[in-house]
Parts: sequence; structure tokens; C-alpha cells
Amino acid sequence: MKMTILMRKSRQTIAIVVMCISLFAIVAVSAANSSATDVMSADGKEELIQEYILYLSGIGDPVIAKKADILRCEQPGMGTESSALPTMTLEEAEAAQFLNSERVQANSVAARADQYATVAMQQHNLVIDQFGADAWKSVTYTLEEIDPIDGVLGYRNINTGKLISASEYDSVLREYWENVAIQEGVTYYDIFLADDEPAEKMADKRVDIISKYCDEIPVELTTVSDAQTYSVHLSFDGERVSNEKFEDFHFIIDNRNGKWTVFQGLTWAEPYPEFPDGD
Amino acid sequence: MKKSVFYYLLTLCMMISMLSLPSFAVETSNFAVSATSSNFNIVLSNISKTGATSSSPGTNITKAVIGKSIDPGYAMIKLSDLQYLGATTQVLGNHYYVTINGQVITFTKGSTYYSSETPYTINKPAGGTKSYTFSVNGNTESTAQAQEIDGVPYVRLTHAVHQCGALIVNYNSSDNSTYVFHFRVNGSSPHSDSNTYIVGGSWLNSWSSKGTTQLAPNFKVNELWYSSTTGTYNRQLKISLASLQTEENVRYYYNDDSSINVTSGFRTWQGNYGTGGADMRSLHMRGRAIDATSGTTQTLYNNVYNEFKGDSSTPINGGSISWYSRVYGTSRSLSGAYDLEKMPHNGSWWVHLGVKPEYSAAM
Repeated sequence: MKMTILMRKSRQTIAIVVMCISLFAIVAVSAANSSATDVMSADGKEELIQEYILYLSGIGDPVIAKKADILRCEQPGMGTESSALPTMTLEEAEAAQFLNSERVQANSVAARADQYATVAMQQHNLVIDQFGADAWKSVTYTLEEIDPIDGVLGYRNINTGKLISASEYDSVLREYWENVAIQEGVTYYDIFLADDEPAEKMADKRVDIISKYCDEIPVELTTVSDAQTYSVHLSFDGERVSNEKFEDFHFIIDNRNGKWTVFQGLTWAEPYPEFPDGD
Repeated sequence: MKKSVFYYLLTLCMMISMLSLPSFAVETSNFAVSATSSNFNIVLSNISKTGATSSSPGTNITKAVIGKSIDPGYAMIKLSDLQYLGATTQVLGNHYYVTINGQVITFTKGSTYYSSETPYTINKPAGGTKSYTFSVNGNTESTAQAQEIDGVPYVRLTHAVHQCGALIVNYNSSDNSTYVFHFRVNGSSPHSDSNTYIVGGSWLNSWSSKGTTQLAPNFKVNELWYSSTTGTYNRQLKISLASLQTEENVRYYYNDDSSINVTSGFRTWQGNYGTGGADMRSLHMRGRAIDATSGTTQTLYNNVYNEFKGDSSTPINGGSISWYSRVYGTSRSLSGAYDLEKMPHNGSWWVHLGVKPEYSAAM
């Protein structure tokens, strides 16, 4: 099997050809191939991406899938069959204390590995259905840095995109709403609760003004972290959109645990009917 | 003495953090040492029919985030992650404000109580306007109050996302993930929808008593909620102002309350799945459609059709599988883009009145 991986990062385009004798021998193959070595990152990010793509490309074989004994991602991504979907409401799960911390932590790798492999098989097959039988033989990807998955509370100026301090957030937000209040001929506390007022008092506030002006708020809450998170966007034989208009095939990687891991497996956008026919 | 214990706990937490080890067991809020918490994955998803079952929609255009489970097992979501449902979030002093589709949801740090206010105005077909504020409130469990965990504001997941208009929230023990299905989810950039929605359900206090609340001069809550399920989704309601305005107009134009009998307003996921001939992304689940009958459905259809035929002077014949006769157009007198369908099923007939998602009643 021949697999071409094209990587774009920071407006640079690097092309490599990895000759894969074995689907799961990417490390050995990379070491033996000087072209591939050129694009291997010092921190293992590129290796992780390529390994995951190769895993998905080969998971169509049920025998291989059933041998899965490791989790290749924290969350498996989207499936296409009911086997990938939840079977209970969150209310039922909470009543049964499924989210009790001890039970969450005891949710073992072994118990989840088969499920993750099943989902990966569905992803593999969907790509073939959408892009053809050879889709996995020529995969290219681009990286897009996105907001951290987890971290501490951060504040951002929406116009500049820059992070600001908590005190700047408070002051900019307060100034914005003070100006709105003046414009509307009311006071700030006609719109919002004072610190010592209970939420029960919201019924007396001018929520219509909050609703009217909230889209123009100049600052926002966000999550900040020293870790990096990337969305890895895939193309199959150069195509990012299938004939049936499936698009945005990507997975999410991050290094918040000190090494690069796949946080969420493959996901995509299925055509979205704005105005469905029928009842 | 208490200060001394707190000091040592804080020092211990800092040492753990510096060693890059995962912290566990001790989580603090501004008000109390809260219960033990663990990370779990939350998958925010749009609704797909691919692989869907009676208990869950298929996933589409997802956005995965990390939540906290609070013992004895309640799910919490970061306040800021509600942005992926299309909400705007703010922290002003002790209060958290979530604004989405005309609705203002307020949480108070350290309190189990939350409230929601939705102000809107109905244009009266006879002229003039009437203003309403749809007010509801609820309480979370005591350990699952709105709170800061490691300095990050969290709110009770079920209450927050349901009130933000999520269709259904499920848990999958196979991947330790909670799935929040909401029609605005679109990866990191939610679909735009400027319409106001009136939202409610059993997660609120005394919700069942809200049935007689007047939503418009000629419409009450209990005509539009879904009432034949139990549990979380018993009497769930989500109705767009555009749809409510349309229904009010139709009822006004064609006589009075008796001229239009709503047989299906908002539909839950399970309710829609069990409805024969229903589309799995039906406008009913998006708060944008009603089914109605009258003494003579044909008369109702003909009368409404005359208002709806704008773009399509000839009804489209969809055959016997879905709609029998369909008009998709813009009406001058009803001021909007509508979908009017006359449906056959099991020998009965009804009119399906839908409103285009991008159409806002703010006109």
C-alpha cells in the first residue's frame, strides 16, 4: 500500500511519501525513509497524526479491529451505526450514578477498546463510501490550532482576539453595560443583579435589554492553557467534500497531558437540511 | 486553625500542580469544599438520522469538550462551553448570565437556584402588539450548584443545556461521554439563528403548572408542549417566536380557537421518532412547526393555502408517502416564509405548518 501524506503548517507545504509495508509499522518506516524523517516533529505530533491516519486506513479489517487493546483516542468521534450511540438519557445515568467519580475512573481501557474499534471501523467505511475504495490510499492533512480543550478560565477581547486579564474583562464589560444603560435611560442595576441580590430578582430586571445588546459584548470567556490543541483536517485524494456533500473530516489532537494524544477521533459534517420535507 | 488547614491544602494542591500530576479528590469552590470531581467528555452534536435509534439521534458536526462529574454523579459543564450551542456567557460579580435566542438564563455562584426570562412581542393580526415575558426557574441538587472548580465557572449540565434548547441529552457508558443534541451545534462555530425561542421542561420548578400560561392572545403552553412521554422529556417545549406568530395569525384569520386544533406542536426526539411518516430532522423538534386539524381540514387547508401560495401558485403533489399537497412560499399577509403541507396518514388528514429556520419573527 502506498500512502501519501501532505502536510501544511504555517503556510509551508511539505510533501512526503511513506511506503508502508505494514500498516502499523509507521515508526520503523519513518526511520528508514529520509523524506519522512524530514517532517517528523521533535515532540511526536506528526508521528501521532500519521499513526492515527494509518490506523483508520487499516481498521476496515474486522480481524484487526477486534485485536484492538489500546485506546487510540480519548473520545472515539462519530460513528454511523446505532452501536456508536448512547442508550440512556443523562438523567437515567445520573440516577444510576454512572458519573460517580470512582466509576468514571474505573471505566477501563479494556472495556472501551472494542467500542472504540467498532466506531473506527464505521469511520473507515464511511470514508470509502463517500470518497471511493481508494480513499485511504491518498490522505492529506492540514493543521488548524484551536482553543484549548481544557485549562483555566481566560478572558478575550473579541475585536482584537487577544487575551486580557480578569480585571480588564470586568472593567470593559461593566463599561459596555453602563453605556447601554445610559442609552436606554435606565441604570446598570435596572438590568443586572447586584452581588447580594438573589437570582429570584431577575424577574424584575430589564432582561429585554440584555437580550437586545448581548450580541455586541466586546469581551468573552474562554479557556487558556499552555497546552496546544489542533484540528487535523483530512482530504482524501485531494477532496475535502464528497459527492454526497459530506465534508470537514477532522480529528482533534492536544498535548495537555504532556504528550500528544488524539482527544477526539474522526468527525465530519453531514449535509444539513435547513428545511426538511414532510412532517 | 481552619486557616492553617486551608493553607496546607492549598500548598499541597500547588505542589501537585507543579509536578504536573493530575489533581484529584480535592476541589474547591468559593463557598465550600465541593465533592470529588472527575473529568468526563461531553460531545455537543447536531442531529443526524444516520444510525439514529428511538433513544438517540445520530451525531453530526460535533464539538467535544471536557466536563466535570460531581459526586454522587452529577454532570457539570463549563459555563463558557455553552457558546458552542450559540449562547453568549458573561460573569458579572457573583452571577453567571447565559443569553441564547432571546432568553436570559441566570445562575448565581454558590446557589442551586437559576431562572430564565424570555421577553418577546406578538404582533396582533388585528393591529398593535402585545408584550410577554416567559419566566421560569429551577433548582439543581445542592452539590451541583453553580460553582467554580479550579477557578473555572461550571453549571449543572442538564439544566443548562436543556434550558438552552437542547433536544435530548444522553450518556454513553461505552465511551464515558455525555451527548448533547442541539440543532445549533456546528463544530466550533454554532449555526446562526436570530429567532427567539420559548423553552421549558421538567427540569424546571412546577413546570406542569405552566400549561395554562398564555404564550400569545390565542395560544397556551399546553397546546404546544409534548405530553406523552415521561421523565426528563415529559411536556418538553421549544417553540420559535416565528412559529408562534404564524399560528396566532392563522388562528385569528380563520375564525377563533375552534378553527384550528393543534394535534402536534413541539416534538421530543422519542416522540418524533415514534410518529409515523415524521422526518428525523423534523421542524417539529426545532420548534418550528405544528400540525393542525379543524372541523373540515380541507377548508382549513384551502383557506391557509390562499395565504401561503406566494411563490408557488400550484401546490406540489408529493405523492402518498409524505405530503399530499405542499405549498412553499412567502405570504404577504402572514409576513414570512412558510411550508404548508396537507398530510395523509392512516386515513386521516391534517395540515402541517412549518416556518423556515432562518426566518425571524422580528418584523
